[in-house]
Amino acid sequence: MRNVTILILILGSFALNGCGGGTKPGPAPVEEVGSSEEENGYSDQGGMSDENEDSKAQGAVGKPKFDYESREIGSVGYSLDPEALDDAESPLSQRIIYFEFDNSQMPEKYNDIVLGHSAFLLQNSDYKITIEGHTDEKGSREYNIGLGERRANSVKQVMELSGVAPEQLEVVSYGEEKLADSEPNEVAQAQNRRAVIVYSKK
Amino acid sequence: MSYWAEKILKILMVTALCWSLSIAAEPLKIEITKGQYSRHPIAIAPFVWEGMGKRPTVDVASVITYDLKRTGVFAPIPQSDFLSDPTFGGNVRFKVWRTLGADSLVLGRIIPDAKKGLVIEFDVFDVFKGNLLGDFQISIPDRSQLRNASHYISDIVYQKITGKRGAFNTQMSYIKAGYDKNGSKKKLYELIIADSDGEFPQTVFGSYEPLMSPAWSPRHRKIAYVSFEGGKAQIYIQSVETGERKLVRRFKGINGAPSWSPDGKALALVLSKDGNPEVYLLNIASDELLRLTFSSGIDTEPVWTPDGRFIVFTSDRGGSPQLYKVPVTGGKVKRLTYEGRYNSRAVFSPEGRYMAFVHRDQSRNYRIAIQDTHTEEMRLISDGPLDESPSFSPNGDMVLYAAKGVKHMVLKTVGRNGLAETQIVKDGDYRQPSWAPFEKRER
Repeated sequence: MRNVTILILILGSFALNGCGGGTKPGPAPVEEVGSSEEENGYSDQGGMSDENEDSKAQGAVGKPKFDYESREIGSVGYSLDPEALDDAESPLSQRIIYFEFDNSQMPEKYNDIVLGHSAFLLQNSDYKITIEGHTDEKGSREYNIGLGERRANSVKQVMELSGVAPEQLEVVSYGEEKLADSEPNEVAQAQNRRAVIVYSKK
Repeated sequence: MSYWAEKILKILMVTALCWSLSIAAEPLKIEITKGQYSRHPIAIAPFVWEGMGKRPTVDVASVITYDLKRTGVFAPIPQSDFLSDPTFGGNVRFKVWRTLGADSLVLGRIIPDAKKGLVIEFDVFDVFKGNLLGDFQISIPDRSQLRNASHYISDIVYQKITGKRGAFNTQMSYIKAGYDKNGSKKKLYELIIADSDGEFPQTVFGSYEPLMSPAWSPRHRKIAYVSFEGGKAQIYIQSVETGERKLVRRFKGINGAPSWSPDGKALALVLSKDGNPEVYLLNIASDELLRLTFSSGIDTEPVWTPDGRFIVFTSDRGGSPQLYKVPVTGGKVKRLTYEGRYNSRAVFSPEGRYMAFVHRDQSRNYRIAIQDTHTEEMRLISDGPLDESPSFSPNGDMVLYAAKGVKHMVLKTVGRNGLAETQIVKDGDYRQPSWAPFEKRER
């Protein structure tokens, strides 16, 4: 198996994203326009708790900024042969990326998973993926189509930066049209805020 | 004959047949006290069946009562409170009706007629003044038209008393998601047209990929909507009468949120072909495209102001979704909403005075709000917690919207005044209702 060299990108740590240590101090957090006092103070009220923040997505004030820290690695440590796509044990079987309620930025903990998919696409140029963007049920449907696209694009961006050809990456946003779970509680709503990687042959 | 041709013919038959209109009396004024609307008390007596055979199953008085109650403008008095069985014709004992608190009264009867089918006669009284506002007669070919006729009577009663056109004999469209009858596990999405009270649903298009955002053309003959068939978003325009579908010029990425210009010649829509969602105008005949918004945020959910001069849209360019407006020729963008951190998906009442939209309140409930464009005052007319997709009745007096039911979305109506919230469909997964405009047929 050919070794694949890829760049690892460490996402800039956003204040709201709650990134842990290990990365260099990131760029200044994206400023939230508007006051935040409203966000405090009401979060304890019943029903819809403070998870209710799908709308206040990052990037509204500009493209998300990345903090790059590149290091070279050898192989990802597992098979990148096409058969691996059907192997339930392969890390490539992990194709769902869940997002924080306050965020359209791909959470850092998915870096390895997504870079594995990048490595696969780099090695198998006859394959491509569609990244589906999804949101929870809150707010209006067409706005959520926009949010879903923003989420899918944040995954796409990471893969593009690792060298995957644009022809191998497609994005479609379903917003809240294909819910994973429609139960009216926060556990279900968190399941809905996701990007899904779907493979196909070119 | 198609369902639609049949339906239109029947409506024409109803309207063509005679009734005597006497619009001499002045419309009553609806009182507004302490900022709260008081509802107009009305008694609708059971329509007397004067045939030999079995009574029709459709109870005309009940349909009228339900129609008027849902407007939030009327407070129908329950039939169980009536002091005696009202009869049609003869002297009306106004004093008795006043005792009940009724300001208006509707009496009617249904007479089978060998030639005309069914003849419905009804009188509308001003109980307060003790006089007749109008007596009417309509005929329908058979019992299957009784429900339509009842909506038609509601329209006449509404107009007689409020002076405004009633919007009961109208239709709506919506998307319904569910599983098909073959028992397959695949989700089926349907574009459905139904009467404005949810009755007589008819599927006009079905797909195993999501359908979204149906929008009526101003002339009530076409619906633009988003379809994800083939795994990509695209906008179609479908003729209601023929079912013919036309694909709108398609671009990479989002193709969404279609909205018709008041003259029906252009669509406002959302495309993300340049990297993020922006609002465009598309001339339908020439396929010419004009980009209206330029921000790195999400710009979406465009809607035309009824005068055709502006596009109002949702944008999070300021950090949270708010409503903005821009001239249709492009130019300076003006922000319209400042209350709260989430205001989206605007729609205008047909005369342009009121703007309804989704507002997130301080308890994080998503509710339908109405802003008066004259006073800029905002009022909440629904309770949430997950209300969306408001749509005005064609007379502007009611709002139709989608709300979270026990598990799925249901459809509700509420008066523009925030009264008489009513669920109009049984359990299911209903989305994005859109109230059809009044019939304006071109000849």
